[in-house]
Amino acid sequence: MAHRKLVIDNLDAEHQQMTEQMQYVSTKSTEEVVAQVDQKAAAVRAAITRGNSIEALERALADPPYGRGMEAAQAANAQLVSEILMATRTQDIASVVSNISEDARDVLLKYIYHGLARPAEFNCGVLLSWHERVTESGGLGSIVRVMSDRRTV
Amino acid sequence: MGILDEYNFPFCVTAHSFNRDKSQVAVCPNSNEVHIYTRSGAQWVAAHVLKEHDLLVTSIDWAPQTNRIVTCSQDKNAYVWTYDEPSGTWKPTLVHLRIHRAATQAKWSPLENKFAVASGDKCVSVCYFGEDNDWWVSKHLKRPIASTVLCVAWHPNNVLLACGGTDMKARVLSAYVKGVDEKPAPTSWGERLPFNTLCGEFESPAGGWIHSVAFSPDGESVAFVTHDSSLTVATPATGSVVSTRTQGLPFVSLVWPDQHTIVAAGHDCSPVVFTTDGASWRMVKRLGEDDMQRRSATASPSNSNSAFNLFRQMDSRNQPAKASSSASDGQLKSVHQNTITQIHPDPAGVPTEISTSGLDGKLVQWSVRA
Repeated sequence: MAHRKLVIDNLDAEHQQMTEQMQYVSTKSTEEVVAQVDQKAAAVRAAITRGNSIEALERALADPPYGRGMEAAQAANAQLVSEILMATRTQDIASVVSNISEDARDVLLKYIYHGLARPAEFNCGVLLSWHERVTESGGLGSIVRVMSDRRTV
Repeated sequence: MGILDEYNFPFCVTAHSFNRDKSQVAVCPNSNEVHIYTRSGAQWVAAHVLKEHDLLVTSIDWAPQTNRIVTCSQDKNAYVWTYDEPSGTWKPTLVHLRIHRAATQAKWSPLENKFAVASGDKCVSVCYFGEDNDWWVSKHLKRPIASTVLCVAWHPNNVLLACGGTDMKARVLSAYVKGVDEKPAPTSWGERLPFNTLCGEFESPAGGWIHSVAFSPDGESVAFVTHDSSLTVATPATGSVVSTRTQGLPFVSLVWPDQHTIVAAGHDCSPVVFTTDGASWRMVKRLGEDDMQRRSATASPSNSNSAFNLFRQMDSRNQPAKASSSASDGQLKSVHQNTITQIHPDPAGVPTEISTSGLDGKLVQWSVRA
């Protein structure tokens, strides 16, 4: 696909306008969101040290940073979620997944796909075992929800 | 609960609509034609072909009282068909829609003096018969629709209209037409309702295109299904918007036949029944799946092999058997073997009966009695 570098859709003014219209825009400022993620990180890491993955996940997945201009906060939050996933023992994954809320479960799947898209930065083996458990409890519905949601992480 | 009638057409059924006594059905065989079939014993016999559209017919609605059919198509047109007794044929009347994109869905209002046509032109045409020019004319609901409208549904008061589409929002708008409608009584949706008043705007938890909307029978709530595999019910009187996420594939069509029952169907091939406890909605049943098991158990003795196959599979793969969605012979457990394209309430208003049509060519009538 090397010869297809030009995204022709970008040349269409109407398309650009549509994309901007359809994009999710956060109501908070970038600094606020970064501060919020930093603040969350301390509590989440404390929960990881106590071995409480459920609490850590619920905290890390609540109100995740979405939208344009939030890349730094998004990367930090993804890193945070990944730390929890790494710290959970394989045999505990199923029980953790069944004990988090439906909302958190769908958001978790977003982070799993975020990680799988960046194999250099994340451990895909661990992500895949989480993916198996999450789709077991959420079904195809969870996957469809991640695909249709324009609030990407 | 179960199947009342099942018939297999030799083509994909992309839209269907029954007449009042269900002795006739209009179906679209995934083309620019509409075929009308008449009931003869257990069979449907081809009776008429309505051929006026140039492109794929996207929606058919048969008005039960006035016995008129409205069809709309990707060719940007809609026709109202009336049956001409002396010649025994269906006569089309073109509707002045004034849209520049495909029409996506057409629905008669409860009193059958108006109908709404959703379209890709970011608007809904509300059509009524203009006595002056002897012709179906339309008014456009435009604001604040931002993209293609995929579905419409009428409130029982004949004035409010729900619509939803690819801008991920379900809206309730007033389709009050001066001279056609009487002033509606105030409802929880609003008191003064001039044309195009926005009475409510709702979203599902994960966004996604809105495939179908429906009002509750009492008109107090609106429900919609979206491409994120969820069902959302909004009630303005209490301000509640509750969503039920499902495990399966997205629904494309829904009906709300009685106050405590919603039936939705789509890519998962089975109609799914939801009931409410007053606060939230939960899934209670997938229609027809146990029926099929019973049927195949009695119908084909060769199925004794399937147990053998199951154990052999468990042995060779060294893993416990999972409840899979498909039976061993490649047939789905559901009655429909492909996506359900449309689900319709009973034309005579029987709250426990619905009908579905699918890409597998099946037209099924169901009873949803608990």
